[in-house]
Amino acid sequence: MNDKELKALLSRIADGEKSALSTLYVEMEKPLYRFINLKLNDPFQSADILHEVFLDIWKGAGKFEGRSAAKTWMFGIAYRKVMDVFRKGARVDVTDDLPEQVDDSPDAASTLAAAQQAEHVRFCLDGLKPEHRSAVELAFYEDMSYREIAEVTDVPEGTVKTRVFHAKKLLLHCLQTRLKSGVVS
Amino acid sequence: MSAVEDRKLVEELLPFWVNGTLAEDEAAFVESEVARDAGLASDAGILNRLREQIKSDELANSPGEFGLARLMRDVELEGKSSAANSRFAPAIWGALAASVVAVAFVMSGLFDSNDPTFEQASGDIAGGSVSVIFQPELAAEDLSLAIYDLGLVIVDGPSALGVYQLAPIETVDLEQVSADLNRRSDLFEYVEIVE
Repeated sequence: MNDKELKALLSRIADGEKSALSTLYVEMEKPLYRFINLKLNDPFQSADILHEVFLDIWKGAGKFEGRSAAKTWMFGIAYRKVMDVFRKGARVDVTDDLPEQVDDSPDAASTLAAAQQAEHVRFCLDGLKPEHRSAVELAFYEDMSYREIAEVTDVPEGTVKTRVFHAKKLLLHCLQTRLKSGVVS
Repeated sequence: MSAVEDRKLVEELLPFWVNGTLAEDEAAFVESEVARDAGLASDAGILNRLREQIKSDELANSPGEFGLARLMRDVELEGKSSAANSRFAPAIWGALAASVVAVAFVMSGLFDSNDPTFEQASGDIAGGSVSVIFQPELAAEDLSLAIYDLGLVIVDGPSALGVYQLAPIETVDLEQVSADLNRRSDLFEYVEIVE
């Protein structure tokens, strides 16, 4: 569903049309849930947050002015809710500080091999801080531009580019480390 | 811009070149850099694989239809509660106005309830009553049956807003009556003890 169609749905939701909410749910439930659960790693809590996101959409669709992409607006709601969970202290950020000695030029062929294996990619993504992971997920799963990610996560565009840049380095380093330690088959 | 800064800029833009969201001029810039730098081209290849892996990685199952049913139920409930509130607000003012009129009536001494000839047409409701609003979809027949089954009698209503006053035929424990009625959300949209 493209942005125009999503915006049309939001407009119908703003008019109180429940069937439009239902259609939007079917369309957006999976990506939003994935986005939430990747950060919370708790299916039950993620389901509750997803529920709250859609209730907010139902109540707030009238306030959506259509200046940004509909997806950006919805992911922004989800992002703020997840960050609230973190702020309330229920969660501790995973440390993903870049090791001091990072090899910037890992063996490309073997890193590529590791990147082709889902379990290694998942393992390395799991090690990222939430803000780095969000940026990578939004860039690679949702195919959002850095401008859209900046809007969702409410940070300057430069910060998004830096986050993705660092996340990329960390991911490559992680994949390379797994190669060296013989985890990768 | 220095070569180092150029390189950093390209590296920062590279993931967005891979996902195809760069503006035309940015994309052209990155493309030319990738074409002449094997390291960047290799990074782009790895990022491409990462992107494919992330996209194909189906994680935990989403709530699906259960989630949708839960959402629609809550949306429905929210609609009802706001409707009840908006209906109840004027009802309060109506009840207040009626009370003022009743007090004024008593104060005027136009009737005396101690008068042995005075008898309330609806019977004695000294035990008190409850104000209720029935669920709008309830048929008149269901409504009568429900009142009968619950051992109640209509002592007033419906008002213009659909508020009835019900009194128990036997028990005088209004708290209990109110709790019983509140449990029957299939019948009653609103229940409150009349003080």
